[in-house]
Amino acid sequence: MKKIEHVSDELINSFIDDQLSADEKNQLLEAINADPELGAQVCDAQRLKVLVSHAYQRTPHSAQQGSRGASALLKYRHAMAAGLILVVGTFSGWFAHNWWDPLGLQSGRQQVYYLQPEQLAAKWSGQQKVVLHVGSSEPGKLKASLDQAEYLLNRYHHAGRQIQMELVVSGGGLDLLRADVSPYAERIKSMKATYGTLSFIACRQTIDRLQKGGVEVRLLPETTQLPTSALDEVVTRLQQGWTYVSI
Amino acid sequence: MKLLSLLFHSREFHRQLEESRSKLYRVAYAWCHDAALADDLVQETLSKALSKASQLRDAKLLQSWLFSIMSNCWRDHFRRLRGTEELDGLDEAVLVSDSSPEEDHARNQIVSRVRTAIANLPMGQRQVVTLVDLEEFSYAQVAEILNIPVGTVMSRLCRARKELKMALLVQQQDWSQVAIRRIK
Repeated sequence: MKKIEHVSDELINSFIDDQLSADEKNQLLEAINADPELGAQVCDAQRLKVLVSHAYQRTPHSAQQGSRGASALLKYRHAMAAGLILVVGTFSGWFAHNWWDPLGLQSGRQQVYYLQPEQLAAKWSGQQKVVLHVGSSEPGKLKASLDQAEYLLNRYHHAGRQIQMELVVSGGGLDLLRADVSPYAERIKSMKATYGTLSFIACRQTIDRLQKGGVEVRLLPETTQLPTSALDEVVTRLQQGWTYVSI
Repeated sequence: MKLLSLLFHSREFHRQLEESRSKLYRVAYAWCHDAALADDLVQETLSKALSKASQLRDAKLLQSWLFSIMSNCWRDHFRRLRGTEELDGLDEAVLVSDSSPEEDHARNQIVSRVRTAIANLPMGQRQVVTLVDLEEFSYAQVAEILNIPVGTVMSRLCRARKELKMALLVQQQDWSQVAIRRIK
């Protein structure tokens, strides 16, 4: 594999914004593994991205916002747009866009790990605090989240070092902790019993959204429900200096 | 049957516009930090989208098309105010509203700090960073929305994030002093 000679800020941005090809990502991950300082730079860049997104999750609404104004406008314009129905009617694929946006951050995009477990395990000497986040129901990601958690917990426990970990799920990632959906109920029960410092945490916003859609949400008994959204939790932990790993 | 299908698609179009409203508003607010102005921008955008619906050739491009309209509305807004000045050269004092009740209340909070840092960016950088970070648009989509080259998108993003890093991550030590909150 071709090695990257110099990792520019533009390349780091392209990495965290998921603008690189699979080969380019692999090359950069290799470089990150070999250079903890570069890993820290990538973490900082990702942290900024999360902060910016968080800052506009809740925006102040004007008097018109949410009022009948918008609907009235659209209804009024409905008549005007009637002549365009022929054009609009020929379009297909309206549903192609993925509205399921677990954190309001991912929009269905695949995130890559920007801190490899080996690097994370080797880098820290004091007590480590890690928040793992999974926002997708993709089977590989659900498994990877447990694998990463277990790997880190094992490494720290065997080294006699402390680690506190939260595995936060939101959006499709909630499947990991849903009693009637998760293929990992036994594994989660066992991990929770083995590692007292591990918490499995579910996004309240996702649960509410599912329930609003008529889905009954039953969670594994090891689950702690957040009072708010997963994003709030991640940002709070970032503020407290926790290391954030997106799965 | 055909008429029913056309009616369905028309309603779908309106539904999609309604659903896009909050996304548009969020970005509009991040551009101007003024709730009333952001709302006006969104209204104008939706209105133009309805009247120009025939220009949308691919339904998959609806989101970037809407944001492109909003970017033009935003530009027009300042042209009306200031002739033909470029957005990058605008006096930031005009764009930054720091007196909303929410910001007053949360001045010392992280949200306020981030918004202030964003508001302090030149408008071109602000638009790029918010489109990428809030709506996860690709660089190519942002280039299309703002009608600028992809290279300009990347350089503006790079400069914006450098500024944000300077403004926000140096405060990291203060944030780490916050007592850990138990969530059980």
